[in-house]
Amino acid sequence: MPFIELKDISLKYMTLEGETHALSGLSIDVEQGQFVGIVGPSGCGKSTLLSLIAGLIKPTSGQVLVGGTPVKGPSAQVGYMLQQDYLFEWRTIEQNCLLGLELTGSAIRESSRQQVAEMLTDYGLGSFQKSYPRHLSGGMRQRAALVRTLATSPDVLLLDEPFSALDYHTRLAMQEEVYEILRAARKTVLLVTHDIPEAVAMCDRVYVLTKRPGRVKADIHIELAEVRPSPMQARKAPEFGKFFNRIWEELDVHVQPVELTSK
Amino acid sequence: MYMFNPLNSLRSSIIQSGETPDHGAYLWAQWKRKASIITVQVTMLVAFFALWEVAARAGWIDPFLLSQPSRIWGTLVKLHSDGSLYHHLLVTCTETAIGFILGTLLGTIVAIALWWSDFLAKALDPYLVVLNSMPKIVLGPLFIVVLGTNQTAIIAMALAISLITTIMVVFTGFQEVDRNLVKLVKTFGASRMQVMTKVIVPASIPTIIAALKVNVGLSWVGVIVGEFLVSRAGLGYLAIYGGQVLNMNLVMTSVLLLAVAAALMYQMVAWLEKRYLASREGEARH
Repeated sequence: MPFIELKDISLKYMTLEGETHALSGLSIDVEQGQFVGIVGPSGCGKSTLLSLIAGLIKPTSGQVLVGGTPVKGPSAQVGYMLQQDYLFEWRTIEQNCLLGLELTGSAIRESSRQQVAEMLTDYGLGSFQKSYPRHLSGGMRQRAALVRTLATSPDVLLLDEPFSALDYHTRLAMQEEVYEILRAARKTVLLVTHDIPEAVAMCDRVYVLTKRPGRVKADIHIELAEVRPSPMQARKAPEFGKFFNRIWEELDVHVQPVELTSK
Repeated sequence: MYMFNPLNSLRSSIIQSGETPDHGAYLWAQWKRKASIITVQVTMLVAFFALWEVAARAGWIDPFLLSQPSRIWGTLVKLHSDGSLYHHLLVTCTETAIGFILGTLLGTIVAIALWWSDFLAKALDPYLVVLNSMPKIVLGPLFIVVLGTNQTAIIAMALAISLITTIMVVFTGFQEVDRNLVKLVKTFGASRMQVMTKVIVPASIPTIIAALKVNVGLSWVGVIVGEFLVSRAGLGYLAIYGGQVLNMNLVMTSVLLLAVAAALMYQMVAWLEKRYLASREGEARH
């Protein structure tokens, strides 16, 4: 049985200007422990899809199931990482990482604090516990955001272009780190991204969505001949280029030719 | 050839405190700049009072109408020796402090209510706009009749002037908090109350402090207007009384005292802001 199931989801937004059909008849399933990528043209409802699974919004029709039960609202079972770290500047790194536990009412437990402190040490932030976010580099901030998400021990992680705000080198390094951490913790991961190599390097399976209203256009299993030890290794695999091209073709990106004004 | 000059020893000690000779030269240049700014500031103040005194003595201006520094000093000494100086100062400062604190507290509470209920915010919007643009001083007679010719009316005046501005500034601050910060805590299942206390208020502290700075000035305006209208004590009363009996020395003395008191109160808020920012900065630096 799939761990995350979206069954025939439709979503409409109403505004005074009219009705926006964001998702239409979208179905997705994710096995436990799987890393699944979601790619698609801008505005196809990728982030909306994550908000549905996180229980932040409800579909107009269709069903969202996590662990076999319908999603009724945000729960500790699902962790969400946004495009930027959104660390609170007025809190120390430790206080930021305890945020989720504080909101769910379990931060008072000494064991939770201990666990967060251990995670920070493991991820090389041990000496920054009492520092404020502005003293950390982009990669370190993103690591702290990961600790904040993992602190509530979610089974599912929703990553919404989590590396897009980082510079290229840091991005590659963070892909390695996050992959390793989440694989080791046997998390189920949904990764929304624009970065096709990132999707191929990190995911077992990639869904390609159509432009709005979003539907599944292709469901591509990234099967490499050798077991994928890390995203960097995957990038070196001979099949890497094949999967890249496959997704690129499915995306069917047409750049409108620029109208050249006459001289 | 060098003459002994204390500036020279200061110069060399500043230059030597730099990490390199070039850095030392930079520090010295910065020091010189800062020193000249302070020199100009002090000179302007001294020159203003000196010129005023000279002009009055030479008969260029009429000291009966425009007073003069030596007479102001005399008035100050007199007020000091009969003890009334401190009484008037205390009355005005207390009224201002109460108006200021009440304005900030009530304004923030109303802003929270408006944030809480978007419907309420929309419904009250036109009234806030009208109240904000209306000169609140016109409410003075109303306060006197309803609240009596006492300090309550004066504080009400101060409150009337600062309250609406506080509501508008703080509420706008609340609305400008990054929506993604709110989304973040919602993914953890935060309640509306938690969104308020964990995100909206702490993220708006800099805005609230900015509102405090504006409020200090507005509270002074409210209190002085109030004292003009009803009081029997305070710096506003001294000024209006001085004007009525054509004692311009008294008027100028209260103006100067007010300038000093208002500046001190502003500095207190600025100091609070600095302390708050320093506490945010934290002890850890890497």
